[in-house]
Amino acid sequence: MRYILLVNLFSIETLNVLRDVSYVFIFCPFLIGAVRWKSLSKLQRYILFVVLTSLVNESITRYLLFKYFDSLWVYHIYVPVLFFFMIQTYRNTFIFKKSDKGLVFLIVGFTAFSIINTVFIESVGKINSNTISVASFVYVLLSIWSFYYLIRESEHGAGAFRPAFWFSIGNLLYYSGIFVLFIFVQRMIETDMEAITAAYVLNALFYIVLNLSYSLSLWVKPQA
Amino acid sequence: MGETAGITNTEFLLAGMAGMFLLALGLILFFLAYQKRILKQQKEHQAKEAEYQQQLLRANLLSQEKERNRIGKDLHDGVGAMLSTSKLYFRHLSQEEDPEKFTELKQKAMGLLDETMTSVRRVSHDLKPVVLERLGLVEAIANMSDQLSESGVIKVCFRSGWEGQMDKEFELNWFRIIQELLNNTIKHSGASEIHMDLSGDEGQVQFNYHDNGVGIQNESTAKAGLGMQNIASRLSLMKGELQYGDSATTGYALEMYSATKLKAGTV
Repeated sequence: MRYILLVNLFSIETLNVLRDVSYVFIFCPFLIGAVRWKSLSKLQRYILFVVLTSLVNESITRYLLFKYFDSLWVYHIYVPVLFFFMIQTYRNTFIFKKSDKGLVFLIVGFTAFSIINTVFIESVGKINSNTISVASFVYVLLSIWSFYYLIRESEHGAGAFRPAFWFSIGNLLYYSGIFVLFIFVQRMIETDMEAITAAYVLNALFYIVLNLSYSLSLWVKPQA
Repeated sequence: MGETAGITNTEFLLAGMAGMFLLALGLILFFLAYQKRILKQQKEHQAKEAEYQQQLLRANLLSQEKERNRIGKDLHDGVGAMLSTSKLYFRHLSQEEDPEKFTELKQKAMGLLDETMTSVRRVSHDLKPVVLERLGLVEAIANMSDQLSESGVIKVCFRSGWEGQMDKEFELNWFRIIQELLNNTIKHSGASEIHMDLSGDEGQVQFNYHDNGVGIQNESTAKAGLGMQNIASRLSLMKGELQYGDSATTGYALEMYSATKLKAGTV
């Protein structure tokens, strides 16, 4: 009974609706960023690049799906590109001030891992769950680290006025949530599509939360 | 991977994802609560610091008023009274025809004028110690120590191993601090000996003060006194610190540190 309820609630129909809704929600931060471009800080502009990367990815995959083409290969390019912009964004907060070498190592290392994964482990016809899981883990760590710095450096409790605050909240919530999905997706995708579908429904909901958070990060005006 | 112990894959995945999401949410809420607590503590600390600075300022102002009142009283009761009496003598001098009485009156009037000059010099010295200005802090302290020892009131031993240079403002502050300490000892402690030691280097000076009097029973009561607040205020201007020694059995002991120049590093 419980299982049937879950399957009905987290069905393919629900997923299709939420996918469309979450696609619309990507435009929120994009439009806010585009309209306020001139008054955005350097950090906010990098956040906008992250949003733009996601928007381009979603648009391309939706178009390919619409034309009944395979779209999984797009993620093999999207994930490393997104990783680059995410690291650049965190670099413009306060974490990497002293260790740019670590940053270069991280980007180069992850890109090499993505290429190796695509060539040898998960081909372009499969979802690159390994790279997504690793990237998610890195984003979660960076978000936790950035909260630690926010607490240390915030003199007047002004976290809510910092773009990094909302950016990190969104990343921490979303990438923590989807981490479990992409650990198990390859194992279940052949055997239990219902489970994967239900998981992607949650993924779509979390994605809405992520984009709302990005919207706030682009909306706030950092205090001097 | 199939069902595990009655839980379907769907339930497992959903529970896992929701659980991680809620864990992340819990972490965020924890961080926010922790930050709020830190900010509250910081504000309390700032409020206490501001209150303390106000207290020091108040003590400073009260001390200034007290000093002004004392000087005013000295001038009025001492110098003023002596000058009035001298005027009376000079009035009589002009009327006196007997040469012996004339000489006696003249000597008395001159004696009063001498006393008046001494009083004025003393008041002036209190306002601006000449020895300090001309010979520096070490000589000024040595001079104070010698004067007290010679007066027989109390024996003062002063040692100095410091040969640096100090801003004039800092020298005056230290002079006033030591004056205050000596006054406190003489008035309240019943001590027979005072030991003072000045040491340090170009950037920092340390002063140890110790008397063999009754000591202080309660450190917090001692800190609240006007004199001690004044000392604390002067030390804080010089980026200095004050520490109480073990006074319960060995009298009154203080260790004080400060920078020697305004732009020197903190202690």
